[in-house]
Amino acid sequence: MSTRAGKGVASRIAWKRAVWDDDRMAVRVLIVDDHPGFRARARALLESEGFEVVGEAGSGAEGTRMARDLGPDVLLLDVQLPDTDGFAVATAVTADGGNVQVVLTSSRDGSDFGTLVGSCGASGFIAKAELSGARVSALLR
Amino acid sequence: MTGRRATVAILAALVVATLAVFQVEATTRLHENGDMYIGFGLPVVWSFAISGLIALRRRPGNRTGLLMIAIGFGWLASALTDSRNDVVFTIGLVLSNVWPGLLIHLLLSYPSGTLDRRSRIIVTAGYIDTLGVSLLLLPFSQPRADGQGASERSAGNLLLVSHQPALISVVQVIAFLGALVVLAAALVVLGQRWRASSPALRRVLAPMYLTGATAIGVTLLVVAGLEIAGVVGQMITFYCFCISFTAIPVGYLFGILRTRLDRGSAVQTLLTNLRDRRTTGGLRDALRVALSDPSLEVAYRRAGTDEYLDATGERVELPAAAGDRVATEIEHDGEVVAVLVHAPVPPEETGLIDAVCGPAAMAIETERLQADLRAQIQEVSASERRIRDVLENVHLLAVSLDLDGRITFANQHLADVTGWTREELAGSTWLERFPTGDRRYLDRVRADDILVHDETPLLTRSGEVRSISWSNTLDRDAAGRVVGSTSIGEDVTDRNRGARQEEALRRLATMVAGAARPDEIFAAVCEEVALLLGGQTGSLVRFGASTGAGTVVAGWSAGSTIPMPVGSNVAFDGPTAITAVVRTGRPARVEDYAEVEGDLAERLRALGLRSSVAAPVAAGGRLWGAIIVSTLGDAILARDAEARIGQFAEVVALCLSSTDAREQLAASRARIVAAGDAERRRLERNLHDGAQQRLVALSLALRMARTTVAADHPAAELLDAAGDELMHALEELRELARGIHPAVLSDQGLRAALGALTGRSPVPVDLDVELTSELPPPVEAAAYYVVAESLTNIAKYAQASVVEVTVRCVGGEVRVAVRDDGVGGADPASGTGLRGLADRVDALGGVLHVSSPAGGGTTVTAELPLAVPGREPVTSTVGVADWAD
Repeated sequence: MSTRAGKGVASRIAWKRAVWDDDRMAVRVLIVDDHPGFRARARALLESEGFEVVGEAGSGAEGTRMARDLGPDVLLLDVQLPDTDGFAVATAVTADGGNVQVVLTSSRDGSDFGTLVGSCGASGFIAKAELSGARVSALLR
Repeated sequence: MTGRRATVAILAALVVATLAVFQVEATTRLHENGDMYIGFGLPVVWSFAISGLIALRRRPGNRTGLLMIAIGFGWLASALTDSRNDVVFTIGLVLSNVWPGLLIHLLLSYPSGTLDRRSRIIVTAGYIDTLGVSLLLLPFSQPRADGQGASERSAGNLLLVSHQPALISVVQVIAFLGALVVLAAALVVLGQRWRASSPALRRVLAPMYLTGATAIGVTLLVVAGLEIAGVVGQMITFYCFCISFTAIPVGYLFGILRTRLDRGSAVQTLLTNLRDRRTTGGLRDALRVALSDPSLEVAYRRAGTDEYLDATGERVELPAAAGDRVATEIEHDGEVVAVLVHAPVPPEETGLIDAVCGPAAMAIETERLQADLRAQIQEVSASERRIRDVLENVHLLAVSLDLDGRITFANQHLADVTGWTREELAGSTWLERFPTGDRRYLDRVRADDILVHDETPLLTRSGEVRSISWSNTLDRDAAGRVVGSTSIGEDVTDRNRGARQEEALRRLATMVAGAARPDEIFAAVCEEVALLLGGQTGSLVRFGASTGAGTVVAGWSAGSTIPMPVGSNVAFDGPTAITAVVRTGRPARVEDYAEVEGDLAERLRALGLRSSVAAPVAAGGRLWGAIIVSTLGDAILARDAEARIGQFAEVVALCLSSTDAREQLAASRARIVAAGDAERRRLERNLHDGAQQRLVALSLALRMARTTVAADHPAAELLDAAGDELMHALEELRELARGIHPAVLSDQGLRAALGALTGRSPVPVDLDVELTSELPPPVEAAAYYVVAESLTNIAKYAQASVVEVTVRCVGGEVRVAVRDDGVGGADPASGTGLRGLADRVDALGGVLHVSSPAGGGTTVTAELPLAVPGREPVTSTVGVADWAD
């Protein structure tokens, strides 16, 4: 499924949502994951639930930069990144003092990571297979 | 016929007869010189009679006496013809001519009184000639009495038949001739007997023969020339006749006296000679002189045997019974002590032998004992010689010392072993030659309290020390006092060295088998081989990549500092032992570094080394290095050092290859484990990147699809169910992936992985991790699996309430401990996965302990060295680093 097509569907759904609920401000999300397939699906999913996906990054460095530049509310951050791991990025981003909330995700189970999730400043962890807008909202403060 | 009665009877008869003759001569007065005749005739009679009596008394069985008495009476009978009485006259006629026959008989039967066949013929002829003729002529003769005047009436022959002067003349002539023949034959026989007699016999025969021969000679003269020379001539002839006849018994008596004298003087001579005797065989010489027999030999009977020895101790064969030599036994205390072998001796002389041997028996006994003693001494000497021969030829050291410690005997082997000659040893004291000897030995000898066996070191002339195992005895004199000591020793140096060497090799082999560290083994080798060979220092040198130098990898010294310290560099120059080994690959020796040139040799000399032996160590098919043993000062190395050192070089090679093999094995195992881990990681990654991603994407798509469907749509339920199913599948896949390889371990490290583990554990876990250094991945994996496996077992079997997990870095290793308070009783062999865990830990060179007493909880600990096996093998050569000397 091509990204553009996916993007098209997702954005149409999001526009519909936004027309009906324009009194509600959409949460801005930055997706950081090295799997483009996942990024597309995640965007489609989140946009269908009213989130606004402001950007996608494929590496930790890129994600850190875009987070600085775009100032999203939520960072959906994959733990396995090619250049670094999600915990390091989460630590760096939340240490900045910004009010970005980091949600870690991974194909693996959260219990695999133990206390690392809590100790890096992230707000929580969602397994990729369980990803949904409701879950994300549940983690947000 | 013996005894005093006979003697008295004969004497009485003699007196009567003498008186009768007196009477006859007095009455008849036939001769003008009747007194003269009586005066000269009677001494003859009496001398014969007395001698005969003496002979009879001395030798009753011997006829000599009887014959002499008979001659005496016969001579008397010739006077009977002067009687006027017819009967007397007739008797006188018969008996008056008998005495010559008797004389011949006497002479021929002297001294034994018996006649041999030839003599018997002659004597018989003589009797026929005298008595026989008289009897024959008796009927026919009427001889005029001598000096009778024609006017006087002569006595008549009672038996006269008729006077036949012619017959008488003829018979008388025949008788005369016969007498000549008989006399001549008698003289011949006597002459032969004389010649055949031994000197002793001649001494006996001489007086009688001399006088007898004289008498016979005079008789012949008288018979031949009786008619001439007138009355005076006749008188003189008669006187000579009488004197010579008187001499015969005198000769006999003289012979007896001489025998007696001889006997006495012989005994005297013997005693004198025995007293003055100085040489062996003196008794024999004395006896020879005493018995006048130069051929006499003395044979002493050996006590308790039937052997006979002469005075020098040599065996003697006794002569056969017959033959020209006679054996006379000498007895002492009823036992035959000796035998005299000599020429036959006349019966008279046996008394001489008896007399002589009375004192000689004592001397013989003495000499016999001396001969016995000499024989025993000879035997003892022979026995001593035999012992000496044994001591000489046996392959043992033999030495005898006196009470001053002087060497009185040293055998050749002692000389060979010690390097001194026998001349140098004899006479010097033991401590002079062997200053390291036991100084208390002599004191113990004097105190009669020595150690029968001891083992002492012996310093040879060349400076080598040999170990001798001694057996010691004390030498005593006849009184039992200690006069010295004799010791027999065996050189056990080589045997001891062999035993020590075996033990040293065994110790080293045990170290190698017990996987002691190579540097420990090398140091032990240096020490053992140096001690065994008598050196003061030992080193192991590893050759460098080039052939010019090497490094000392191990060393030992008897003193406080090692001359060639471990790590120092050795350049092989000059003709030193190690250079020779490098060049030839064979053991080499340097006797004295003072004679060797080169820098290395100078350095070694400066360190005090005197001599060295070096042997090559071959490992991996090449020359790896060398062992060197050296001495300091004056000590020298064993002669067979090169051969012995070779065995220790082999131990080093064995150690090297064993260590190498062990390390290769460990490296191989570690590689296998690592390969397995890598494979699992790959598998897990494939799972993750492949199947898991797809399922995740599927899950998201399903969710999205669900959002587009209303809750009451029939598809909603289907989609929900599908989503649940997918969740389960994902979960199972995740579990599977985690079982294959904990990705979090390689991504996040041990601490994170352990945290994940303990978080998932159903039993509460108290985790305590302190890591001071970076762990190699295999070690991390092993630590993780120890904890993972243990937690799995606890969850399955332990029924524990709490678990403690501790991870520490101590020394060069990581210690992981998992302790629970459950029921215990875990058995590593029963498929709880601990077996595989032990293998993994072992492959890394670590140790896994499981302590699980029943009812007491279980503790699993692992000690993992941080250095992973797989270093470079020891047997390769390294480049030589120049360390500071």
